[in-house]
Amino acid sequence: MRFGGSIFTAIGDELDGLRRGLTDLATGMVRDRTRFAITGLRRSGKTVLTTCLAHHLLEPSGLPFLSVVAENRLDATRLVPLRDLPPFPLEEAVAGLARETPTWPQPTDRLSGLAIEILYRTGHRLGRLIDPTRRHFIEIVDYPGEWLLDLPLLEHDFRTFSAHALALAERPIRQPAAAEWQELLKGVDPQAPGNPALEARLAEAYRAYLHACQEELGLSFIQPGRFVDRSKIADEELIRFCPLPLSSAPLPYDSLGARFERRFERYRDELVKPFYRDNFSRFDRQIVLVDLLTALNRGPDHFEDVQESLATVVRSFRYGSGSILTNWLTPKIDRLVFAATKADHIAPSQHAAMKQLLEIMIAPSSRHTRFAGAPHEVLAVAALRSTDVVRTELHGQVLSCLKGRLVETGQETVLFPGELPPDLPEPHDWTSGRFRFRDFAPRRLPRGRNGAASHIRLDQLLEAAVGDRLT
Amino acid sequence: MSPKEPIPPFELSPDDPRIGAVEPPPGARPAGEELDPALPVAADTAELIPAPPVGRRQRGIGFWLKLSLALLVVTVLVGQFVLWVRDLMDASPWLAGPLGILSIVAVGSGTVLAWRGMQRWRSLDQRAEIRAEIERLAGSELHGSAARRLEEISALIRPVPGVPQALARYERQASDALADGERIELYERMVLNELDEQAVRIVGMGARDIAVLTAVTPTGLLDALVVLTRTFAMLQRLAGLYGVPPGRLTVLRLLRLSFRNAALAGAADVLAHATTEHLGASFMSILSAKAGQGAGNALLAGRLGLQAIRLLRPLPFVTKRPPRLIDLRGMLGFDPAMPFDLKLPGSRAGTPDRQAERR
Repeated sequence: MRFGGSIFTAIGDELDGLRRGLTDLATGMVRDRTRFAITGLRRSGKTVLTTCLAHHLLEPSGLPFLSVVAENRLDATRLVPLRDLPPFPLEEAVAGLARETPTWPQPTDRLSGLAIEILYRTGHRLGRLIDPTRRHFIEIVDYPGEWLLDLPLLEHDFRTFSAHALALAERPIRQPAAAEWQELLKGVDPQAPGNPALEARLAEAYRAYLHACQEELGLSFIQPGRFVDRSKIADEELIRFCPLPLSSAPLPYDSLGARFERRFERYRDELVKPFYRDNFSRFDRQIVLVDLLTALNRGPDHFEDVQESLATVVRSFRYGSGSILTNWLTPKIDRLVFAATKADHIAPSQHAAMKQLLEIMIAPSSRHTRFAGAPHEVLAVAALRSTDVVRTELHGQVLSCLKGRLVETGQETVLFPGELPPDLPEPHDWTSGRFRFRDFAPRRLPRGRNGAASHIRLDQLLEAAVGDRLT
Repeated sequence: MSPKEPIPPFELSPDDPRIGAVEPPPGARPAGEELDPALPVAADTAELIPAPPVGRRQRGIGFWLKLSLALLVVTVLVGQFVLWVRDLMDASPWLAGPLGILSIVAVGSGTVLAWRGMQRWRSLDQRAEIRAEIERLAGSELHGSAARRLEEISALIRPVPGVPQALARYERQASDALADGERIELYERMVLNELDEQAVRIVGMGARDIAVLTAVTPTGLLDALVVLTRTFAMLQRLAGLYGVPPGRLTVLRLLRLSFRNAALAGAADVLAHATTEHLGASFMSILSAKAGQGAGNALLAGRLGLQAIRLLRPLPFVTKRPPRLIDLRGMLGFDPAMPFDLKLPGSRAGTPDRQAERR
């Protein structure tokens, strides 16, 4: 991808990537590693998926669609620390889900990771003659979803960022939340000398606008992401800026515009770029999680917002299949899976419609990845199943309903959440009350051999993402 | 409510009488229990997929000609017999009485046996019908029809040794969230894969026996006999493996396939003899001709065995390709990796669940 900043920085980054690639090549660790990019906007279920993937891989009895398990070639698995990241709190997350009254893992507020070492026997005829037992490491990185939408900033400078953010704030759904900040902007001249008090007020108003977009309006496209996340930023000055209406005239050095521009560049270069370089530039497989049901619940504007956010995020990754050597030097994502989460919140008979709708939703994203040469698969999944399916007779029709404990009431209930449209909902679908998807509390994460009942298509997700590396 | 209008969301109390039982989660249903036929199938079943072109075959004019000729012959024979018994009754009643009673018993028991044979004969047709239906559902993302069809298949193959355990493992893993296509894929992986491996081994070993025996037998007649008997034995084992009842008519139907092979083996031997006699040959060239003949017979038997697998297997090959002649190369001695491949009965480390149990 093209980074903003000088050409020397870009060359430096490429050289850094080359050095990492050569190091990996020298240590012979590339071919036996798959680094997953579990990509998803905030609350899309990244942490739960990471927890459940790791749990099932470490107790691989409920994964009948994962070839290495189905063909009985898996010898052993174990958790190993990731070389360059703090450990993912797997034990805590599993303990929370295995409690008498299970609780969802805490939302992620920092970067962490885990690796699972898999010892397996190869299924290749000739491979068995040369090296019958092999090792593979699956590496998963967890991070706050808000950080994801910072990645596109790497392609922006302050002017393009400002223009895009100002246009976004004009949209009808965002306009009320942005009113106060826009009012404040009216009296601001970017060419005027900087004023710390005004700068703080502007930055605070912009942060309040983004916070309202996220918390009150439930929108996903929040840029810069660290303005609203829960993690601590050491240097508060890094987030003391906001988009400004800029003309094409150059900005004097001490002007408000120039001061904001420098902070934007520091934010981009000191926070976003290392995050991308250290973690995101080395992924070779990707799982994109989409909370389709919440987007449908919230309405057409949110649906479009999620669609746009995904398309923007996906453009931040490197896709394509290169030769072995080029993949060593500059890893690219050569396969990805788009997964609609919370498949247990609808009846299984609706999964086909869920997949179809997801295909439509991700069309702008998948077009980009397909052109880059990375095939994708679409699945409806649930990392941890929270409901049972019960048949109910109503008006002479037999309907598949869901039985589970609702988050909002804590009570066990049976509900029919409505029907998913197999195509983009028509205008009247949004208002006619055709669907209302509710959140269910988690079921207890099972231990032992009956793991297949505790998830939906987690094994197919793994097979699609990494199955070919375990042949 | 109009059926075309979407049903709006609603919520019920868990003890509402309109709520049925929870759909059985994996492992909940005992291996031998059948699905309740009274259970209504959800409205969202596979009705969108066109029905398969299966059902009763159209009987041609040839069939009716054969049937009428057979009935004619039977009628003539029965008539002749009745007339003969009547004449005998006039001449010697004490001899004709027991003879008549014995004849009635023989005809009665023969009819019962023929009826049973016909029933078993139809089991292959039944399999073809199920295969066609499963082929239609393979890859389907809808829910509803596959579970019942797979139950039918399970009932057909349950008597086969080892299958009940495989079925129990499948039941444990088959989540109710699986679509028809996924369910079929899982069934093929967990239940039929082991049977397929055994079937390929049976075919490979049968072909190898035929290769060796026809290479050492001196005459064409013996060659044909060896091919016929070994092929017959191979087909019987395959039928047993896939749970086809070993009725005589069923085996006869399979054997019809093997007659062509036997005839080809005999013809190949006659041809080899004629060539060597006509052209003159050394001892070594005769030996090599016999070896080549053996290899040819083995390949024909292998091909026949693989055809039989497709005929007998209750499921079409959905996720994997059908076995090919190249898969037999290890057992015929052409594969360097075979020592690592060879899985003798009992040597398999076990299925994933068994492995998990050990862990």
